[in-house]
Amino acid sequence: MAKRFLVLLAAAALGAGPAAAQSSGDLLFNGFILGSCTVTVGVAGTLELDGDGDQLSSQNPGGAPATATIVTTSIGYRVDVDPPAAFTLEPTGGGTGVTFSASYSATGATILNNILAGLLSILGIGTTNLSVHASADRGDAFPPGEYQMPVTVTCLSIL
Amino acid sequence: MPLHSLILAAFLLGATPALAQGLSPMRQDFATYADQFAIQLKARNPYPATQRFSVSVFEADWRRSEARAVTPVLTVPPGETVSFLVAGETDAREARTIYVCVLSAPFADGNGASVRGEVCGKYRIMQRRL
Repeated sequence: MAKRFLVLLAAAALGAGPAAAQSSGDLLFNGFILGSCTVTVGVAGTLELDGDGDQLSSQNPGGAPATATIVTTSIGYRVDVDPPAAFTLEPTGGGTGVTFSASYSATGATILNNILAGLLSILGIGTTNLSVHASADRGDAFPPGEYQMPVTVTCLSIL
Repeated sequence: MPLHSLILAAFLLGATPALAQGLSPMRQDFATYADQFAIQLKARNPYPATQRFSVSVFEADWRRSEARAVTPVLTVPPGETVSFLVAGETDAREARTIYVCVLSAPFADGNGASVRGEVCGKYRIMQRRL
């Protein structure tokens, strides 16, 4: 025990010189976080037919928008929504003469209201809650059957 | 240059990946001393089920690029990250910008509108000469 005490005392004495020359010092920690963007699809939308039977839209009564969450950790990202180009599921003749459209709105880190699909929007830093409406229109009534059309939500690095 | 050399170069030149994102890194400059390049990226699946992501490569003007993902379809377990390579020619350009996009399969619940999530990173390939 006494021997260990002497060793500690000697160590303290040896260290006393440099410690007296510099009483304090800063230790620096550097870090770098890469910017990131995550797209997480929420729920798929619900299409409903209008009264005339010639429009399938998530904005018709009973319809619902699709949702997605985008999380960014830096500036330099945009969101793009690609409107549907065709039905991926349709009854025979259901896709003839159809025009498609979509729009999107956002809350949270980015505030957007009813932006036409195809127009890019700058994303804020943080969590953006995106809702997307889609429509399919044609001159005459849609034949009965199951329909499905895809919308793509893209987070794009622009810097 | 043999592919294994390009893969090694990709590991050496690649940036430190960040976790918890769809695509990592999202932007980066890569250097190559060869007439070809291969860059290593990571795709992450934030969903609670296994996902199949398709990888596409575009030029700076969004034309389809001749550069390709070595594995164009990735199967990623839930919450996991999978590395993949994009390889192509430098075309003797000193700097070349490409976009790499990772696209999810459509999410649909049978109500008519399905959604696909996509993340596109922007990368510069810098041609170096010895």
